Amino acid sequence: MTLIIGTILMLWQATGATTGRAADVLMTAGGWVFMIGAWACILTLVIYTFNKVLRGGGK
Amino acid sequence: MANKDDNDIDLNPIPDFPYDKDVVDREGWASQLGLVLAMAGNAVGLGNFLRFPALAARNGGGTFMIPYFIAFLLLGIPLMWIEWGIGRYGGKYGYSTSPGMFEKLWANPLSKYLGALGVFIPLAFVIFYTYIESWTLGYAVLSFAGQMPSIAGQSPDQAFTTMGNYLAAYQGTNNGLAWSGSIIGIIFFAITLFLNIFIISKGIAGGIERMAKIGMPLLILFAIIVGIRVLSLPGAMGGIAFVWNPDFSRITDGAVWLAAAGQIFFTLSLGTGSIQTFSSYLKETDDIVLTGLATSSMNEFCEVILGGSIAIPAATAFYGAGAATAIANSGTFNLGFQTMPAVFSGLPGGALFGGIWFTLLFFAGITSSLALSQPAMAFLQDELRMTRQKAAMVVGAIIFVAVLPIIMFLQYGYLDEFDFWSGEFLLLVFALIETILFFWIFGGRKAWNEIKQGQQIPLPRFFYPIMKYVVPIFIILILIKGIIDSLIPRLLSQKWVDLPGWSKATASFGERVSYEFGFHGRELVANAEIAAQSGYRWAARIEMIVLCAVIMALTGYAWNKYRRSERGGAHAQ
Repeated sequence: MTLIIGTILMLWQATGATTGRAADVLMTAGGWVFMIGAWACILTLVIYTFNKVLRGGGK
Repeated sequence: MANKDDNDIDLNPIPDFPYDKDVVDREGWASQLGLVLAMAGNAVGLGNFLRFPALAARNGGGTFMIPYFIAFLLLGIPLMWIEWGIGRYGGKYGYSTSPGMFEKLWANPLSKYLGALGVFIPLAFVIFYTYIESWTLGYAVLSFAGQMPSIAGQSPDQAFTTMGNYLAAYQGTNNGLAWSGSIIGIIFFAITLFLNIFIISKGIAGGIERMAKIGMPLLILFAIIVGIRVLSLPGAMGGIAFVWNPDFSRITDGAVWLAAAGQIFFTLSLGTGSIQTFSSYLKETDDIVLTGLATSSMNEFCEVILGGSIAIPAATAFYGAGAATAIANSGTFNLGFQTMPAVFSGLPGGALFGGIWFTLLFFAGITSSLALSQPAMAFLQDELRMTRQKAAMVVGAIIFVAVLPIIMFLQYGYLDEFDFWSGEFLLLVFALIETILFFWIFGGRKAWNEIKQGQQIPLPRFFYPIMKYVVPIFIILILIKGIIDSLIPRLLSQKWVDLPGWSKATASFGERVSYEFGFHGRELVANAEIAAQSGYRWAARIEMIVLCAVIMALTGYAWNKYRRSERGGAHAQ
């Protein structure tokens, strides 16, 4: 839990994000982390499950 | 030497009822991959490309993914397995739709009528969905043909207005008459309906599965092509930043968590009844744990990776980062049918990319509408003993007749009313009913073992309490939120407005929670627009009630005429 909270606080500091997001134009470090993290999780899941499905044979 | 009795143990006992010719000869999937693609096609729809990115941007950007993934884990995947489990369980008794499935879960005369909702909801859903799907086909053809309006020399605002007028002309809502509809819009609707009916008339393996095997890879290919083109635009990364830059102040906002849970629920096409029908064609020993997970992950790939990289970045590149908030708040239809055509019209080769964009939306739409049509098809085939071709004709005729007022009274909220009830609210109601039936009435242990049967990957034990407790609580919370935010104001022709001086940013946690339930910080006021449309909206509700009543009556008729005699016949043997 401490690790999770620490990570979140670190990301918070890294992004400097505020509620006024309309002015954001550049991707912040937090944005990259979240995007790459989400993409990695999903791609891992897709590759894992489809690898099993395809190796499972025709039916 | 093994005991003869041990060898004779039947691991797959034949169900006592109604294991007859219908069960043995039921349709089935040609391959596990085809099943996964068809299920993914069911889940991947317009919302993946239009609703998700705008919702994420409005609800905290990257931080939205925290409640989103938690909801995926605690609500989406478990409920997906529940629906797969109910479907496969019903299928082994020869049932492809929820009336029969529910009766096997709960031996009560009421159960089959509750199950009739699982035929009504997808049918009402597909009635208006097919019409929206036809817009994507029409826009794809018109884009490829270079017939979209030119926006050369126009400002982004003017371009948005131009495209709005074009959409109104396509829908026929600005024809100066009391009803809407245009010749070209109706032609493309007829083509779309014909394609749907033609494909479902070919059956599960020959129609829906084959379409999914073609449509899903093409959809992904087209999305990648459009995504690369969009991300190559100057300023597109501003849109990516708008979708993904985290706003941690939103993480404690309950509305964000409920929005994430709602998006997971709707994006996976849960509560429609179509997943149960698709999985009913599985064998008793076929896996549903892996295939359910593969389906969900494919949907997330299309939504988060592809969907998050196209519409908002394209719109931001065209309109500028300052307009991103307004674009995200403009709604799914505006984003898809006004903003995006304007973006493509301003690009070199825009006709081609616009055509590809709408073609991918069309594939996303048709794979979903086929799945939504199947419960009604299966109901007519299984319960009313129609042939597949005759059932397809009947489904097509119902859609054609029922959609006419939606087309004619589009500008009066007729479609919106169908969308709310059959595309949102009743899905939650149905999902709650099926979860309670499966895990509480049928029995948690039996339901758990049913889901695990044939598993190709292990199902972690902690999902048991999630399915039994967390999933229904999640659904109830979303349902309460929907009743407060949408159902009550809709029925009273009112809308919520924040009280002067109210700000979530400065409110305490208790005040925020109270706000979500409508007790603090906001009040209901008259909504003149909804009030003016009241007659049309009630007509839409009455149309849906009549449709639901007819399906329930047919359910009772079918049980009296066919199922009872089968039961008697089975016992007689």
